[in-house]
Amino acid sequence: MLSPVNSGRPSDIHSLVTVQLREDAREFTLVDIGTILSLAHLIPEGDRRWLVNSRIGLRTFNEIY
Amino acid sequence: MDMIYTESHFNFVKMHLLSHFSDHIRQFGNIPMYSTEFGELRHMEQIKDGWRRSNKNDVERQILHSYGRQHAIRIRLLNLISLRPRRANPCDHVLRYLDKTTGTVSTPAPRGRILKDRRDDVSDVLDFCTLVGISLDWICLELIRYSRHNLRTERRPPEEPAILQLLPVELLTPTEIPVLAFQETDVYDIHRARCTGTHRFRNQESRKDWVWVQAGSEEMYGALRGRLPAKLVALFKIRD
Repeated sequence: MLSPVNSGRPSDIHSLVTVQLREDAREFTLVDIGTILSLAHLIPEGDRRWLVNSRIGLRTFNEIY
Repeated sequence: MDMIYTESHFNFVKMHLLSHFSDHIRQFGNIPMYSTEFGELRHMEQIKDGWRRSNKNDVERQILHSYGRQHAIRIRLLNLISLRPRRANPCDHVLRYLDKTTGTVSTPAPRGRILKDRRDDVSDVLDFCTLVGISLDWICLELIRYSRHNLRTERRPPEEPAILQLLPVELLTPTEIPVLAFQETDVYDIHRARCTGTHRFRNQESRKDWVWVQAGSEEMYGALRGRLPAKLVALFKIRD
């Protein structure tokens, strides 16, 4: 499971939230399937960091690209 | 050809606005009102469906006719319904058919998640660990932690690793998650999250999708509102 950078505040530059791997986190986490809300779309940004796509819906993205 | 060269340019409003977006974002932040989602989705109904229905000759005209006909029928039906509000609606099945063919509305989906494609090569926790590549110690610790936090005392499995490793397990590949459609209250999209473990997916690499997990309350994690992204490593059920 990833954790938000900058307490989950969107960046001033691109207005997207960045998430990263936590050093202290367990390698795997067991979660209830009911807590899975939807598919996520992350864009890799360097090593162990991702941008959260909040600009375009996943359905639209898949249909167009 | 001359006309093509003279008319080929990018001098229209949509392209001009692009030059202002970066300054606007730096000054005012996010520009959510400029979502292209709604407009791009219209391509499916208005263009792509019409193209599929055509015989591929004089396609532009057929696409326009197809959508025009569908739109006209829909308006006519809605007019009929509004004129007869108190009687049984005779056009429901036609509207449902149109909804299905145009993809604009879907029936409400069940709220639960559906797990599919059980694999036969896993029967217990030990098999599961070997196949997925997770250590047995870790899965035992996680199972104990999970059951202490989420299960009532009488439903908790025993906490001895020797017993835990023999618990029957079903390993599954995809799960279907109903997700509310954009700006809708009772229309759902189905997201199929897949996790193929070490197996290849359609002759490509193994697939492990990113998903959103509700990990805390809405006040947590800023704009993520208590949700955190996670990579699916395995989907499994433990049987009693």
